[in-house]
Amino acid sequence: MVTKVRYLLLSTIALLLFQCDFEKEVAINLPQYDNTPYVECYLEPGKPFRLLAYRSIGYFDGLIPTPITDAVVSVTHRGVTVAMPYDNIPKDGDIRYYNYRSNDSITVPMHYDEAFDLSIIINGITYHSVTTIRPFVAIDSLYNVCNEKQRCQIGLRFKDQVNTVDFYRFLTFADSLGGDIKQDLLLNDELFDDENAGIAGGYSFNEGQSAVIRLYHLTKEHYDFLVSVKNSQNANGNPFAQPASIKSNIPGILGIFTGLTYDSKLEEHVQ
Amino acid sequence: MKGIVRTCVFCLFILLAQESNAQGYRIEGIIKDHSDSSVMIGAVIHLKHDKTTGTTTDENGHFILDNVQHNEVLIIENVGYASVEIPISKITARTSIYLKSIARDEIIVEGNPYKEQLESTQMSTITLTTKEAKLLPALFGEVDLLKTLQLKPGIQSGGEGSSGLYVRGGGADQNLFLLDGITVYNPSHLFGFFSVFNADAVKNITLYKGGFPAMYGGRLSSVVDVHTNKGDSSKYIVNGGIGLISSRLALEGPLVKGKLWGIVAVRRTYADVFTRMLNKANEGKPNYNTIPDYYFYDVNLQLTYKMNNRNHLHFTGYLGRDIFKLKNENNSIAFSWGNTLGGVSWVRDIDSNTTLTTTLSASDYQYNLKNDVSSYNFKLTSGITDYGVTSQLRKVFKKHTFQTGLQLNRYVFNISRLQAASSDGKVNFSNGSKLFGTGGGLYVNDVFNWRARWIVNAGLRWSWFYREKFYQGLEPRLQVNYRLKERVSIKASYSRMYQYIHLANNSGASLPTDIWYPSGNIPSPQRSDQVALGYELSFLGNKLFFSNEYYYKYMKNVLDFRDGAQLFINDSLQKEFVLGKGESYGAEFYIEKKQGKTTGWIGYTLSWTNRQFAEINHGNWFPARYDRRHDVSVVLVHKLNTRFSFSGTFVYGTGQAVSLPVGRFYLQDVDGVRPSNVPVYTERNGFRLPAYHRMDIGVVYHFKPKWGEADLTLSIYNVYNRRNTYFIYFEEIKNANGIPVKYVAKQVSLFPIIPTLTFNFKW
Repeated sequence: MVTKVRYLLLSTIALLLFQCDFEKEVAINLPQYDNTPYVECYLEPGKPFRLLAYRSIGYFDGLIPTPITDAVVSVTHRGVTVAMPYDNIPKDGDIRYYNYRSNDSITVPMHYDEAFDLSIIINGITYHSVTTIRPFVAIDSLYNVCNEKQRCQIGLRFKDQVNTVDFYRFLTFADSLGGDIKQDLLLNDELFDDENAGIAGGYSFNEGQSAVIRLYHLTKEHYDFLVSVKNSQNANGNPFAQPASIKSNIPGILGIFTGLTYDSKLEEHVQ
Repeated sequence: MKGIVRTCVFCLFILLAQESNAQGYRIEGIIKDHSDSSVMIGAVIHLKHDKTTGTTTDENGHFILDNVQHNEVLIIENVGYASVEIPISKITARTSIYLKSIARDEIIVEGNPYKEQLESTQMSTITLTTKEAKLLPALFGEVDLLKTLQLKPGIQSGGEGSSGLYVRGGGADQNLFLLDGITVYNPSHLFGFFSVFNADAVKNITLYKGGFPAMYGGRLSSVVDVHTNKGDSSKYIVNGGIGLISSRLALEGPLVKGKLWGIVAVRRTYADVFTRMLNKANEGKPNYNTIPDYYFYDVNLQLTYKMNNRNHLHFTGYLGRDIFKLKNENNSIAFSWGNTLGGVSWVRDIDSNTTLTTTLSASDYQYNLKNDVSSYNFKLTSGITDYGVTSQLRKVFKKHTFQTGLQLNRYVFNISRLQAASSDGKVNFSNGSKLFGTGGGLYVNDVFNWRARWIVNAGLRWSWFYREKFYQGLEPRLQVNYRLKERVSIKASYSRMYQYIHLANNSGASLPTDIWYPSGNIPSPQRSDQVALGYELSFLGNKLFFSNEYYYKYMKNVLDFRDGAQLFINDSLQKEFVLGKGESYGAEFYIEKKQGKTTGWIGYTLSWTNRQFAEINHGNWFPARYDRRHDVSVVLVHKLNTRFSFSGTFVYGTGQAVSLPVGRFYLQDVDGVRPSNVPVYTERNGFRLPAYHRMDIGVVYHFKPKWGEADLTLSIYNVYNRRNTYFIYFEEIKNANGIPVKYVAKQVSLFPIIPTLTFNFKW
């Protein structure tokens, strides 16, 4: 009897160790996708008006999305309309790719909390959106904490406006802007009890490494858009995630039209 | 009989009352199991000479026989107990009769084993005993009564291996789980893979999926009423088992003979023992990722104190915890969650026809998440505490069985309480909210014969809840049974239910972080109205039982969440709720064989479940995740001889409705360096996973060592190694330079073939 039991136990363990792949590629027939236009437009004070427009694609339909070349784009602010003709040639200082831009001499004014109206006509259909540029929020100070393994975290302190609802994004890059992103946190000011706000990341930097820290003061639309992007990315592959649709602030198409303000600091030799 | 007479002694305690009339005597009473004073449902009572006269005990163990002659003999039978014959002439107002039970398979109940079911008004109800569940194969050998319930028509699981229940299109939050009348707020361990109900501690479970008696309220879709094993009053018994992932031990017996007895049952998993050994062996090795510790345990305690023949006190206690720990160089995470509950019931038999039951209870569910990152730490806590009192009076009249009762609950909701601090004191903040609510109910219910062939069960419940606003509602309940023939019943029911507290759950799984939230200004209470019509019959000489039910359920103010809702660390959950409506309808077919060497059932459900919310899916109706057009289950148990029994189950179900992205775009983002791929979802639950099917088999080998009884149970889960789809995701395939080269769909499966050997013993 003991031998039989032992044999059964060994067989059980052997079968359990027989772990086949739990993941396999499958063919999924997706319905026809309507290639909804996608737009990204960030208004940065002091920079020209610029916009990226292309068509989103069916999930398995190739790699390169199709740029939209025949849209009519303009932004109106304080009664002045700025045209943004098609121009897909990158310019010095661009860190993003755009295919619509204003004349370089026309730049985004530093008018916080005043409306900018976007108009974009694609195939005869006009899409509108309105946004603002949030006031600049300065990083008051940075601080570093390193552990015994020579891994360091970086935190920052800043002043939050207590009488407004504010949204922030905390980004840290290793070594320089464009380096590996070590933290990308979205937060709103419900977390802060008073104007003295602070945020810190994990132990992601090596001691002695340099870091670029950025604090973005986001519009609510931008915050909602980024949250929906994260949720949508998380929903793909996470059986417990909430199904998510993209919260575009340009009704009828996908994308974001928003002002962009941030403060940036370089921390050399984190220690 | 040799060797099969069980050593345990059961007793039947019969309270009988008789009254004479012109035609003969009226005999009525309650039949109870003397070992724990629990009432016996479905015991068959008939006369020895007058074969046409007989009845069965109702859900309260009560029976009535009219026009009984003085020279007759009363025969009482019940499965698992030896029958007894009592001459009517010897029956006094109160008679106690002690019986010795014999093994279940040795008893053949004469007459129709489905008689109680055919005579009852109750429809849409499933009763399952631990004994039945233990005969079936189980995942990892863990006998799980909730998973066995999923094999019945009208009940879906939340997914592969899940013990979650989705009853007639209702959500996981719409089930009321009661342990001896005390609400259990999280009925699962290990993210829903196992239920909290340890089979050793449970006697039986009754699940109501419609036709709710008026005594139940508070959830829209089902009531899962779990009755614990009360323990043996006369001798000591040790039960236990050693399985692949857990071991169990239960001790029962008298503490003060004839006065105080009980049972304590414990269970613990031990995967953490092995993972700790692995972690220690690999400590310091580069590229080794520490395996988290995980285990769960639960303890059930049940005590019965017999004050006298008319008064009993029952104490029920439960403590269960899931523990998850991860510690590495940077991080220390401790995550624990579980239920703690306790209650005392005073059962008073005022006379042979009147019983008063009063219960005081408290139930608590909390989860705690602690994270220490070097000089920072944060702690997140959420949960619910419920203090309750219920009282029920039951009175049996000549043609009526009347029940009335009240219920009062005080709730404390702990919503996402977050505390974060740094050791230098520079960071110190807290967030979260504590909400309070009060609710209750008052009900009356009457079961009565109306004309010769009609039995009516009519009830009315008034329920209320207060937080920010006062909500209240009347909940009419009606069930009718028309006995077309002796072996055929036609039944119909209508129920209205209100639900005042809601579970913030947005996935198909039961997660420990799901949060209970009360009605208030937002959200409003949920409401359901359900009608059902069906018929039941026994045939082939009462060897088989068949039932067929059709139902329609409409739900108002059902909850879902805005797209992208933040349910975690959010003390303003009310902002995330969206209210809508739902409907579910379908047909259930069920055929069962209860007696003989081969027993089992076949169930089939054809159903539709849809939801509509203004904020989701462009306001269009969409199928719920657990909408399943076809659902089939086949269960067979064959007892080869006294040593071997074989069992097998087969399930088939239409694939779950899921959301898949149909398009995508690249987000350039503010830094412009790393465009990321963003999926675009256009329709909620617009796709179907492949159909789910699986077969499990089991073999039980019983043997009798000198010290008692034992068995070896071999369970093989998913015997043909079907790769059922747990979920599908789309993957971006990149080349060596990190450039995307193609996009593919991948299917993830969970459990392959899993054989398990479990050793069970009784001493």
